[in-house]
Amino acid sequence: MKGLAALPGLVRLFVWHCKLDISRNMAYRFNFVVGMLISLLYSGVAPVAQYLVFSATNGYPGWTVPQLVLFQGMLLFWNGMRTMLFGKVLQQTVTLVRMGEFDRLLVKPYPPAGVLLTGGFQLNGLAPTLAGAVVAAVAFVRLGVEWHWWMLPLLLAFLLAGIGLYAALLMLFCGVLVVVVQMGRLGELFERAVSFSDYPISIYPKAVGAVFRFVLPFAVWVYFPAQTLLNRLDAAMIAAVVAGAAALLVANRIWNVLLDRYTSAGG
Amino acid sequence: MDEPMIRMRKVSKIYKVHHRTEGFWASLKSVFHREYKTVTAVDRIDLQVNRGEIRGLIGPNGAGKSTTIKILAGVLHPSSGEVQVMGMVPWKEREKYVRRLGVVFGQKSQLWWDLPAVDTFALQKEMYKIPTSAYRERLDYFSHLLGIGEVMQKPVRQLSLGERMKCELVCAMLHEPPLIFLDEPTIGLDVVSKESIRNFIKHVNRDKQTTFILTTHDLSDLEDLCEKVTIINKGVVVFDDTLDKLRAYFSNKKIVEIHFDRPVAKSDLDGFDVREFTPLAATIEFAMDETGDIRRELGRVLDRLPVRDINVGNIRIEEVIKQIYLT
Repeated sequence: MKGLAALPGLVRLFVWHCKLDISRNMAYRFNFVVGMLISLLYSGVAPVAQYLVFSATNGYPGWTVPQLVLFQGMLLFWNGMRTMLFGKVLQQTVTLVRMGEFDRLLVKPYPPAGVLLTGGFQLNGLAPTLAGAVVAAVAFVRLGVEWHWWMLPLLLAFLLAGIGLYAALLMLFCGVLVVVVQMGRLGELFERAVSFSDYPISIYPKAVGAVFRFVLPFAVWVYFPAQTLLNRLDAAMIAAVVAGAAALLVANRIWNVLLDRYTSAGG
Repeated sequence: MDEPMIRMRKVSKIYKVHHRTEGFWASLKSVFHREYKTVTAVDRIDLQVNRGEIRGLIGPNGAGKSTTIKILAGVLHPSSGEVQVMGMVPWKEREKYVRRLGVVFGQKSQLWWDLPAVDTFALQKEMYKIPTSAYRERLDYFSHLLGIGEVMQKPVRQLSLGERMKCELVCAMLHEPPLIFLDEPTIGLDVVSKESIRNFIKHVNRDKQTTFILTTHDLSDLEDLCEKVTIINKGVVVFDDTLDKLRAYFSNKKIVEIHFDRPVAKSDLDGFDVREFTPLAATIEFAMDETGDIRRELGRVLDRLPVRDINVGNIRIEEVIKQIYLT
């Protein structure tokens, strides 16, 4: 409840961090343009590679090429969004904890996890977000699926649950980092784990698919939004949204326990 | 009447740390089996600071100053003891508490490196929900006091260390906290910048009755700013009183600087506690007897040595503090 009370302030803080990060990017225009192009190329590689694999093989069961293009559009959009919202969080936390600067967060009048997450904005995510939205929109129109009004709130619910779930995973990761200080390859493990959402959940074995729908509902990031736009509704969608929100609450509890074990660095 | 701002009673902080042994095999072994030892960073510390004070908190490296400050700032929980600051327990009411707290870490910046400091100030305004009119008024006051009107419009990376520190101070004070922790605010600064920052602290303390806790290794900061000093050594408060009392800590000892008419041999000074020696000058420390009469000691010097000039003084404060650190 305390976290919810701080939410409006944290949103304002996030907006300010966005403004400052944009101002900083504008101070180095060349770097900004090159960074945008590179991030677009980098984010676009995975969807293109998947598309090539898909078209050269039997593809994914239950998915046609135009449907897969829609999925790739959503994937590009989500990857852009998470970079834009939380792109700096991991590296920033590593630096703060290792250099003993994490203390600075604890003297701010907000929950430390909130300050950490709201400072993660990275403008580089803008290009893939826009490109993903365009690709998905074009694919949707070309597929000729009928648009229904309820698609919009459902997509919004997935986006919010997805942000909550990703924030929860970041909080867990950062919480562990606060205690162990050196994360080594745990960061890679984090990236690999979330990359399970780069593929339609339906291709995984049933048990794994159930985990990604109900327990760690990675499906809310790309798979369920794509399914929604394909008008393929599933009762698990609601459960996934609830699980995403629950993950945030659980992560917040664990974060608080881990934070109590923070020992700071030498003076 | 003195109103207590900070009260610490019997506060201890104990860490469990991995006991590393030397060598490659020991490192490998530590993967499977680790030995731990407990380290007492602060040991039953008592401290009281009154509202409107500028309190110096000093001690050698690793003495427990930072741990004390971190406990007071709500960053760390003590292992035992009681802490009350402005009527709050810092780590229990952290968010409410830090709204009334300012912190400057001398070696850590909270300014955005690529942007003008005024942009970070605007972020602070948002963070502490400072009304626009109050924000403008305070910014004018601070920028006038520190002379940073133009400085705060330049990207932080283009600022000198002194200019940056001034901006750090403003950043920590924009929400007008009644209590401010300054961790080595003058570290690495030239004399002019140091003086400017000290004057600023004095002004804010006087105008707004702000309480400052100052950790420093620069004793001129203490002499210029603090009436009272707390010395921590090996996790224990070893001195907690006025600077005058600290100066008089070794009042039974005097430092006598002597210049000679002609070169003397060091052996001529046998029987004296010689601190410095050249053939034409020497510095001697005298321990006076319980009557505090120095004449007998001076008589010995004047009788035995070709004195041209003599100067008797108290032990310098640096020396007093060094002695306390070494105790």
